[in-house]
Amino acid sequence: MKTFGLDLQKYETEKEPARLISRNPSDVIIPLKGGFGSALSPAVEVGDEVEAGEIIARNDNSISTPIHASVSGEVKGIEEMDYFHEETGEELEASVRAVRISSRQEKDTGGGGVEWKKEKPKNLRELLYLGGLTSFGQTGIPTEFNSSFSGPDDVEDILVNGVVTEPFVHHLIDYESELSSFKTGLQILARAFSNSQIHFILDEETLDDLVDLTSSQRIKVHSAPNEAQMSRSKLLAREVLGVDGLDEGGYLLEHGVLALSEVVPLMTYRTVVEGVPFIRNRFSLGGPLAENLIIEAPIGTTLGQGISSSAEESDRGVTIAGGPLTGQKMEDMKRPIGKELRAITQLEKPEESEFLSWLQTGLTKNSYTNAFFSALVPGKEKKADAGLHGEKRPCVYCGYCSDVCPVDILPYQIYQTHSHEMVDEVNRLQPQRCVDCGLCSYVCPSKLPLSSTVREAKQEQPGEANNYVEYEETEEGLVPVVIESDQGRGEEVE
Amino acid sequence: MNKLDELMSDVADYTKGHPYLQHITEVVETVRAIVFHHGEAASESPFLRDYIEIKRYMFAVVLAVLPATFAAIYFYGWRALAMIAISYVAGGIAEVTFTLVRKEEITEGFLVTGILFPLILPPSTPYWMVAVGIIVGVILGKEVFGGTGYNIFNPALVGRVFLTISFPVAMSSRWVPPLTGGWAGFTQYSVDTITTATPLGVFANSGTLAPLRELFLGTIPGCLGESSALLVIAGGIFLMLAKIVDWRIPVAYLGSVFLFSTLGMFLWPNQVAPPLFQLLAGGLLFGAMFMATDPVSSPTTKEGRWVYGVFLGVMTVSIRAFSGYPEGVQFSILLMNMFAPLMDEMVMTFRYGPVQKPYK
Repeated sequence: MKTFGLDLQKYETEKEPARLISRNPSDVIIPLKGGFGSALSPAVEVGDEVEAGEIIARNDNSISTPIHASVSGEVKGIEEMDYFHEETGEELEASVRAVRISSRQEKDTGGGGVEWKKEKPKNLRELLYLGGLTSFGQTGIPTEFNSSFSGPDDVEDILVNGVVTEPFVHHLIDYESELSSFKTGLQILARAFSNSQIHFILDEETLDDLVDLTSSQRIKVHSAPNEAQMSRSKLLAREVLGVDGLDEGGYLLEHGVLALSEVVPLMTYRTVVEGVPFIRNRFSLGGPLAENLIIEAPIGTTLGQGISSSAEESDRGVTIAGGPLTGQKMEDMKRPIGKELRAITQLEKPEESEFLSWLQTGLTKNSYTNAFFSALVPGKEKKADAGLHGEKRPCVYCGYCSDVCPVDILPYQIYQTHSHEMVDEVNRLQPQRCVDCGLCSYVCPSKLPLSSTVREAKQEQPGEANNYVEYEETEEGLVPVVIESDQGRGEEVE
Repeated sequence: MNKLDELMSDVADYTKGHPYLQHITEVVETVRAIVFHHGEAASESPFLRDYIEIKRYMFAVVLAVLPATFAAIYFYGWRALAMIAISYVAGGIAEVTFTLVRKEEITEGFLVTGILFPLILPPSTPYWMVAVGIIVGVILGKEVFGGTGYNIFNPALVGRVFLTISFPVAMSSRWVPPLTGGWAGFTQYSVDTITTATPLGVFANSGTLAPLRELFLGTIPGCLGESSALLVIAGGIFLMLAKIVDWRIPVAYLGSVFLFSTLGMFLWPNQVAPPLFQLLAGGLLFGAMFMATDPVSSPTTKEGRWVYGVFLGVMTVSIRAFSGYPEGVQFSILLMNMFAPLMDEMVMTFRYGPVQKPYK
């Protein structure tokens, strides 16, 4: 394991621990696509009364997961909206339909769960599908209901990722008060996927406090080293589980690993034991401008209501869906919170004009280098703004990007060869190893777009392992399609 | 201060529309960018960025050679500072002219070249020679390749070698003894031209070794910045601790000089000087700390940097012992600069295999 010498946690010291709050908006707008899966057609009409947890869209024939009404109330409208992929930041021009429901503000009660220990694995998988949980994971959770490209038997290992290393992002689970539900959730997952091994990975610090959490035969508990960006699932699969063949690229599920967020076991517990489907999402809110919170809100709550921030307030900063290193900028506060949102980070906007900034002592300027005085006062909180902190310059071959790269690739070389369209040279440098951690762009003194270039290079890689999923608009709506990455390459060479 | 910023912005806007002045817009913009940092937001993920930037990066190197610069003034008077000023002005004009003609941005790399170049010249170098050297270094060493980031050779060394070959007498036999005691050079403009020889020259001619203590403190004839080993090491350690340069290059370079001169001393006792003398004399420390570590012209992979350092050491010891020149640092670094891309290529081939060219 490499020690990158990067301590990103310096950005947040002396902050209150995050507390859990709940939001209950007066109306929600639920996109008929959440997480992994196709866009669906609504099964309700304007004027219908719906109950929270009722399925409002479902299609077992296309790769998808049912969508539920997240509140009880009346369907006020069915609207078209652009689809925004929170993980990749892609704004797809193809629109998805969304159902607007005005809430009766009733407290939703569970529909009554099942005795999970008596259920067959297949039935448990059906409950996961009907509970709307199978859209989790990068390529969905495989069941018999067409919720992923693979089938349930392809899952060898389930990696429950409880590692939080990005600054301003918090654990979504309170491992003190929610531990027993969480553990039950893990056991249900173990029963539902009886051929696979469950791995729960937690950061060392959190795991040390949990004496009640120990490995069993089916559920192995691991601790992850406290390294920058260790929270990337692919990195955990490589470093902690020792999964082979990841150098070849491809989705984790293609290597038999189903990587899931730490909220999944809790949501599984709620769905199976309490009978409440996944209608309230949980995400963390953090950053210099925000209070540290864990927010639970019905799916379809607008972002502004979810983080209770007005447009003017959010103008002061930059709002990011995800962590500050891997997230995507959110500009529209009216966008609904979907199933895939895990974190919101609010950073300050950079100062407009700073006098001789490069001559300043830089006591609050965090850096991989020790070229600022901040290196001498490690305890002091470092300023976190969304600035580039410099002008774009040609590469000076300092080598910082390859020093911090957790998967030993040379981002500067990929950048150079890719920008000169030297296809064979790029392929040789194995960009498919990249886990999208963003550290190369973070450290670059020349402010080059390294991580996005490596991502592009990765998608242009030939070979089956580097195929990727894109959404295409068809007559049936938005459908995920596997794009073979060497498509079009033949033409280019001619 | 904001008023000044606005004023500079207005000047830039005014020149932009002007038929003749539009050529200097870039200069005004550059000066403005140096004085005021404008908080541009990151346009893509990651939104959180390191505070290191090229200006700070280059400035750290300038900071690291300041102790050696003070030593230069102490030993050789204020003329040393005049040489640095001339280097900055003449080289700056060459740099700006070139970037303006090519309509490119002015980059900060010159800040470093401008101060490193005069520090590796003999103290009595005529001013016009300083100007010629830096102009050749900037143009032939850097700009013809495309500017900072694209150069194959260290620009300061290109200028130095150009002068060494063109003006051998001025560059290698007119050495002056340093001033010592009291305020020494701080009260004088220049040193009287009593011609003497550098410790390496003395060793090459007579086999006599200078005392190590004098080499360490710098009270021996030599180039402006390189005489005091103590202050050069201090600057180098600062750069390594600040992570601006990779410690592997100086460690490999100095280590291999130590090793190969120890070995050589037994094999060719009359030609190879003992290791400690080799380390402290001449431009080795200055070259290892500030010249060989130039990131653009040295290898970038860690393994490549080790190999580069070791080869530099072998070359330096060999040139010092067996060639007509008593000093071999500048030639070694320039020669190895040529091999830097090859070393990186070998590391990549070792790590990832050769480039597959299926359509050849």
